Amino acid sequence: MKKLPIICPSCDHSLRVSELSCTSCETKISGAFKLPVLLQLNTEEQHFILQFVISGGSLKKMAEQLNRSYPTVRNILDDIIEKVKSLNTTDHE
Amino acid sequence: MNNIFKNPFEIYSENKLIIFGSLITTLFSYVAFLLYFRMDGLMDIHFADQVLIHQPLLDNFINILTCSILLYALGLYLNKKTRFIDILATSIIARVPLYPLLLLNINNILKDASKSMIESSTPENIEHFSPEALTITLIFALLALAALVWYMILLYKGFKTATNSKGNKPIALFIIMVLIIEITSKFLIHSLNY
Repeated sequence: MKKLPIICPSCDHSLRVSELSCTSCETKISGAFKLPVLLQLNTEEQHFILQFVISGGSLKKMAEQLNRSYPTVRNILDDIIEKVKSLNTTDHE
Repeated sequence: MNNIFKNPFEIYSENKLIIFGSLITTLFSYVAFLLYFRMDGLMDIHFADQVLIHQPLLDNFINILTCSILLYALGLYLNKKTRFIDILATSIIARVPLYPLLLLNINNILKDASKSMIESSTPENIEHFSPEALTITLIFALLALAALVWYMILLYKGFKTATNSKGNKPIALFIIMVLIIEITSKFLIHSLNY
């Protein structure tokens, strides 16, 4: 599956969805839709959140699965929380 | 593999680090007793004419505990989520590079070399100057410097991992705190005089 680009390769600004299409009847909808906050995170961060949910929100379990220490995993989560907060604020402005 | 030496705090759990570090610390405290070393400060290794079996172990205990408590205080100031156990693991493991230096004094090689250097340092004894003693002392000095740098790198990396600190302010505060720990641990070891 192709990776969803979230940053413009030309000017580094965040991208918006301009077209959506139905895979069944091929109806196309055009517009300027903002990407949801979670989709604005990079692939590694999205994967981390997915793993976090799958492991039942246990950082200890995640640390074991990722072969990383507890503080390292907690730091990644804290950084993602900060990023989500700032993206959320930008989205509401 | 590279990360084991550069930043083991990213990979290993705090329990593994504390158990491994404690075993190494105990072992080398005994080695220090056998080879007449005292570690009377965070960054200190000194010869002593007489060493009692409990002294190097208590030296290390005080150094590690002082380092853990003071770095934890700084960690809490920088990040409320800092855990004492991560700082403790850091304080124990970071000291490991210092311990192999003790082995350089097997058969009193280093002690004799530095004694010879001191004795030949006066103008009237200059003819007793031994190039061999100078070489041994220089090798030890270089290895000690490398071990000290590695020690500080590990201490900082562990602290950084435990506190998730970023930017220049934590680095400056860390350096100041290391100096405070050095003074405190030295003061405690000398005033307790065990």
